[in-house]
Amino acid sequence: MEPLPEDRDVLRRLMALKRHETPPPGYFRDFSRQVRRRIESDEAALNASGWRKYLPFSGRLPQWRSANALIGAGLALLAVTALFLRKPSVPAWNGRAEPKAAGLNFGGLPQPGPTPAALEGSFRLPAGFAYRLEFIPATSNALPKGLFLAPPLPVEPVNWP
Amino acid sequence: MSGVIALMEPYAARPSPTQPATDESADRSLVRQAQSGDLNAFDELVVRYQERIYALVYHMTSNHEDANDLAQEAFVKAWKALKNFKGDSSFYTWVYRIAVNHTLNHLKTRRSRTHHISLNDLDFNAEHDPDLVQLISHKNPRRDANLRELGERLNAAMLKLSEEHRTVVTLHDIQGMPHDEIAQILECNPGTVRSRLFYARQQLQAWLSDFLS
Repeated sequence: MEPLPEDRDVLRRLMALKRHETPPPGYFRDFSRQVRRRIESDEAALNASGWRKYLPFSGRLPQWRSANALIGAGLALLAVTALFLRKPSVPAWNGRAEPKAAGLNFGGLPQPGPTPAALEGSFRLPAGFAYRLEFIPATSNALPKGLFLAPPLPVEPVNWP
Repeated sequence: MSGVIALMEPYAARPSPTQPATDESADRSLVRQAQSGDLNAFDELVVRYQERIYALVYHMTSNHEDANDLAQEAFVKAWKALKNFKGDSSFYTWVYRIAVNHTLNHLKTRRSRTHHISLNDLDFNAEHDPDLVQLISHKNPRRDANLRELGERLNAAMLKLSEEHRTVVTLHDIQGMPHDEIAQILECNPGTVRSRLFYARQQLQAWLSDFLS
């Protein structure tokens, strides 16, 4: 049914009433600033979430977040362990000569290691390297006293027939 | 009826709220600056079109909170897509298309939401609009009908329309946009716009019959 021309005109005018449904004055004063804030926060969020792509489980589900947290905690634990177990650094070695191990004693008399003067020229020490050779004297290879302390057993002489 | 109509000025002679009040070349310049990352230039574009985009979304949703959110989101989308804007159409048409599509998506995904009828939203001018005063006092059989009731009826009728029909009525009958421009925005042909408009008016006529006859 085609609306009558008059009705159509009135209908248009009725619809024009909706043009008066406007927000209160000043409503748009802050509108563009709010749009700008949204844009800036979106871009900040996008930049902040750049590292997330390296996570094995990316997503918003709580279990994924837990998995990521678990992996993160494991990595942190590994890092701390590695920090505590780290070996002391060994001075650089030029490979020209090998000094004798000083102070080692394999059951014999103490073997004095090379003196710093003897080592001079055999290898070059790194700058700032300070060392001290210690000779541990070994006076005897007897068992230490009291090592096998045991209560005396009652032993009776056997009389053989 | 005819007396009332005769007293009213022709609809088309009224200044359309969507007539580009701004220079299109200035728009192009601002778009170029915004495309190179100038957020201040984009701010200027937002200020130019914020009221029209807001009104478009509001008439499609009948909800001020939704209109505020959706209009802002439409501008944010426009900013993000601005690098892909080739200038085949005006910025105004392009941003309108973004706002219409964004609002239609919103309406389709949130059909169950209760709409707030904007009973308090008629501005001061409405009460002094001679056309509307005449329409109510002379034409309406229920002479005690007031603007508020009329506004409520209008919004209820608009919300009964499908989203597509409501969009066409909003763009043409409320915002005064020509068929061709609506077709550009909705990416359909003008014939489709006309047929949707025809069907929507038939429905509105039926629902608002007591104001019309």
